[in-house]
Amino acid sequence: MDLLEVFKDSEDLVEFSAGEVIIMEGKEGDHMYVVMKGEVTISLKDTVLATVGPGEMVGEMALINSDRRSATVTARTNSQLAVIDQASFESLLRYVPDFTAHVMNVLASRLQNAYEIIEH
Amino acid sequence: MVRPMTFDDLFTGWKDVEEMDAQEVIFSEQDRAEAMYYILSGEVELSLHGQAIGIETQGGVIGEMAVVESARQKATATTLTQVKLARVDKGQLKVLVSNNSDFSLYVMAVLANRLSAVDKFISRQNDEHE
Repeated sequence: MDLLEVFKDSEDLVEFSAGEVIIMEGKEGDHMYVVMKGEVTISLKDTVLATVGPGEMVGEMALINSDRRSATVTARTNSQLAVIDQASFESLLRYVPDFTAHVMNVLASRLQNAYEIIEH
Repeated sequence: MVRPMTFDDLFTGWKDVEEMDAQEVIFSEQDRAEAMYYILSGEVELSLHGQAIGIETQGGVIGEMAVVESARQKATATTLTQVKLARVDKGQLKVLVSNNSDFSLYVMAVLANRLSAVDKFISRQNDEHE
């Protein structure tokens, strides 16, 4: 699913400079983002879990299973992100089956990465 | 938050049910992830390299890596009590996820919860190394 296409007309966009923290682990969160431009890293303390770029989502965990951020997200380059609030997220899940399948795949691949970090 | 749901009704009369005694291994790390299991009764422990990462009980799901093509199980699942499991193979899982939006939301929440548990495990490892 091409999230860049889905959110290309989004009016709720935020910009971050390289090095800025977008999401802080442990803080409360009620929205997620789709990276529109640039690259961001997902990390736990000093361990980088993943680097993600345009069309990829971050911050979805707080909307699914808790209101606390499970990891820190930092802008690796200057970045532009589309903001998705809880209500929009839930209606996408409910009415766009491809979106649910997409989120499932994203979570499964993050889970696979996390397990691989432990194995090494 | 996506609300928790139970799917006991969905699995009532499910044909592929496995019964196991306590202390049996359901699957091990690196086994091919051929199926996901819905726990009809009993308790199952998930572990990584011998360290527990969580316990799943009735209504819980294990083996969720089966949603990914050609994935391997990343944790070991061991029964703590007698358990009854509905075995959902990859093909059945695909059908359930595409035809039942509540079930697909549930599997998504299972993946998110597991990811949180594994992230916490990594954090603890980092703390121990500091």
